[in-house]
Amino acid sequence: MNSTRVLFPLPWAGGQHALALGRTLANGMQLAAVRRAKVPLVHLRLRVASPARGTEETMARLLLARTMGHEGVTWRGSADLARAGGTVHVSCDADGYLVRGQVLREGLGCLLTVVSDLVTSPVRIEDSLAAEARALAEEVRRLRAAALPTARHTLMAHLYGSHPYASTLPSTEDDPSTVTSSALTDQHRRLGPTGGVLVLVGDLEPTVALDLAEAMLGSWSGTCAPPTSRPHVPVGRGAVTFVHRRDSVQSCIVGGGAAPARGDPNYAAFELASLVLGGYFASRIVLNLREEKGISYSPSTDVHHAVDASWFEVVADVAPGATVLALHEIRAELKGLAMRPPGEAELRGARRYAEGSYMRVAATQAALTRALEWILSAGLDPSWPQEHLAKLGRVTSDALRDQASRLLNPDQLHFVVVGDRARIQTPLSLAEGAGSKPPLG
Amino acid sequence: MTGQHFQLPGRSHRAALGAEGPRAASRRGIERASLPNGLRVVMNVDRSVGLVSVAVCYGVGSRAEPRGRTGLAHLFEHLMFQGSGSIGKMGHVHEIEGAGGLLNAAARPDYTNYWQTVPPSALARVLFLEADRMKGPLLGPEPLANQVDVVKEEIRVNVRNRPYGSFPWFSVPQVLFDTFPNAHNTYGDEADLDGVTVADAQRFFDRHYRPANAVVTITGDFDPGSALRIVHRYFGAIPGRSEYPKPPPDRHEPPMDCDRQASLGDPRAPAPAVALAWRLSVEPTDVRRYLAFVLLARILAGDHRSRLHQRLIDQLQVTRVAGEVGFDERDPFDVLGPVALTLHGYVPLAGQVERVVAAMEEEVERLAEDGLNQRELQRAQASLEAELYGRLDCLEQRAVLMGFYELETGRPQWAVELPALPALVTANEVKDAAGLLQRSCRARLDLIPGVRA
Repeated sequence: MNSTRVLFPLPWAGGQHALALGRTLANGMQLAAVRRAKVPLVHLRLRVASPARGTEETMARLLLARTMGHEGVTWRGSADLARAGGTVHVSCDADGYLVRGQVLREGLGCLLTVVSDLVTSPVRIEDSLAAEARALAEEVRRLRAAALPTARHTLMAHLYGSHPYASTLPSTEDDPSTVTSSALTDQHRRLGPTGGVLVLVGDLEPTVALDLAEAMLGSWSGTCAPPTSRPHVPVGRGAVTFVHRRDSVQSCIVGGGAAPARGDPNYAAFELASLVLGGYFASRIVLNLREEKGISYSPSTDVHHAVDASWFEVVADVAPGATVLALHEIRAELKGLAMRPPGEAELRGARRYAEGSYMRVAATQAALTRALEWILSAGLDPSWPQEHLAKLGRVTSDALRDQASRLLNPDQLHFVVVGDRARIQTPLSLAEGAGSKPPLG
Repeated sequence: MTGQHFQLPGRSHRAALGAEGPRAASRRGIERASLPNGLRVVMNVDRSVGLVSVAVCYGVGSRAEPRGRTGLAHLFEHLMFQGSGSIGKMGHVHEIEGAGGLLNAAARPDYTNYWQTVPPSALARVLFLEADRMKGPLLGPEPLANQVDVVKEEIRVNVRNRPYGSFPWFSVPQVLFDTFPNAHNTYGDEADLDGVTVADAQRFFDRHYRPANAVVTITGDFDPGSALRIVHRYFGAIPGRSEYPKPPPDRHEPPMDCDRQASLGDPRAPAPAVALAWRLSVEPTDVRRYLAFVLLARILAGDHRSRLHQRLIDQLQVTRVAGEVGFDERDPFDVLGPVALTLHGYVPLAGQVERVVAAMEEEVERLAEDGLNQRELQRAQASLEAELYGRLDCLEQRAVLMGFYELETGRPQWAVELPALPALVTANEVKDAAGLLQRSCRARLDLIPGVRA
């Protein structure tokens, strides 16, 4: 089959310099290849859709990603890949697996061989499983000992309940060495081409690269059913969950709630609202917590997107003695966005910053690979950034305020504080409006 | 596609390297200029991306800090965002971000960089803003106290509140070096930060932040002729203060005559970790010789196929192994000597620490005595080459590295030549590098879990 489309020009991607081609394979995979030959490298991202069936699968999925990553550097073909400076890395989330690779241009074939072998051939686990399980157990202990991953996991558990998105970290009590090889084989069997996206960007000939990729992945037929959507809209009530972390020299505050998806007509206004709040250096929360009060280095807001949901997140690591103050100020800034929406100058600044950030997604081979992968994985057209830029230009202060009052009201978000109870001093229950839950431990 | 002014030394041109005339820089699409006040300018046009980066590099870093004022170079970098003659606090940030740009800065051991990437239409304004703060930032007790607090939170979020935070590099300088310029990291001590006065900051600025100690680098989509005119217009009037150049900090280290050891507590780490660190006698700007050590670190512990990965992970259940060169975990190239080579690992089984240390030393010895095979050399060369090309793809990283090499060597083209150089290093050069380590004293750092620092 040869349904090659010209994605070119990608006006947002420095169009005149980037020849971009796309192709959809009979098995449902989308391929895209872009020539960007400033440096003699090729970047690859392969997204494989394989939704988790429940929160209890997290450990097996993490172990499969690790095992595949290990095999990517030890299997046949990987020696040639290494000699071409190639690397392969595999990660996972509740929606599926992401394979990332990079290689000097002459290694494109090696990279595609190794990557397609990883996803299409059954996992070979015997020799490396024990070592990977040990390494994973150590990684889980390390992440559980770190403040932000703990806070984020607690927030997601609250927002997403029984949905697989609730589980970002296995518990330290879960032992990865109890994951059986048949459980791993089962997880691997659930990888399939449906909904998959492969993006190649760099010093390559797009037609040649697409033909190579099709030759290796075109006959891949997954055995599992295509993923089905399980939309979930999280609801918060302004409460604070406190997690005690002994000797924590900072308190990690994370708040979050529902956000519109990228395809939602309100997304442009919401994105600007998040930016004005904490999306860049000169944003409100950064100016307040950092430049005025000196209690946090890099507080920020962000919008995250996954297949079944999109969510807003505000993060601040603050001095322990300033925990209650910071929580109060974050809530005040969230509320204040609806009461004091940006004027023309602030709105223009946020809009220009957003425009600049969409231009920068095409500024390097690596960034363009990442951007095309999420655009195609989200089911959006490659021209989406261009259309979105036009929408950003039309967002009014009223539309932004409307999004802020509907979705960024702190009473509709949930907050998590990870810190040392003894160092925080003031009980969190004194934080304005915070219906504190009893400490978790 | 490659912009017409931007050329990389392609893989087929390697043989030509080293045989260069005086016009070497311009052959690489790099233009150099200087102003009467001593400011140097480097320009590298690349029209493949519709953006332009400006990096201003000052030849001062943590090694030039006065005694009792560790961390001042980094703190001062923060103060450069607190306003200057024509703009208020954060005004620089407001303008760059409001123009659709991105900006940041970093204080390094030997220099400090400030960069921004913006749409081409904002280039003149960026140059105005950089010139404005080169004339002098607004220094006062309030912004100083505010940024001391911010820097302390930065150290906590990046180091002190993390399990294994920045291990071992946060402590390597203090343990491995003896003289003040080298024996502290770029963050410095919190007590020293508390002691910084406005007068300290002013003196630091007066001494180091001057046109003759700075390089302005512009990369990306711009016209060099008109950019240079704008540079002259905004920077030309900044007084040159002719007493420059001042003597650089004395980086000399007396020789180390025996091995040393230090322990650090980490209340958050779930298991022990251990590191070995060697001083390197080579200057990183002696690029060819230095690369032998960068490759050595990779061959020992760079990736899954490296010697220590195979041995420690497979046999001793170590979960993380790394071999790195430099002054910290960041860029190994944008520093001067002395620097270090470290090998480190997380060791989940406390009883295995001694065996891990022994294995690290044995592998250095084996390389020093038996050398290496061509395959492992090729792997290390190719992976380093790919990494170096990756950073050249990024306008601001290229601008910063060119600025560093202009400052320290007068040869900004090192930045674009770098990726082709690992392939020139021979197996014998790497073997000799291992021999130097084997004959040198080393420091050992033990991270003790569950214990307060």
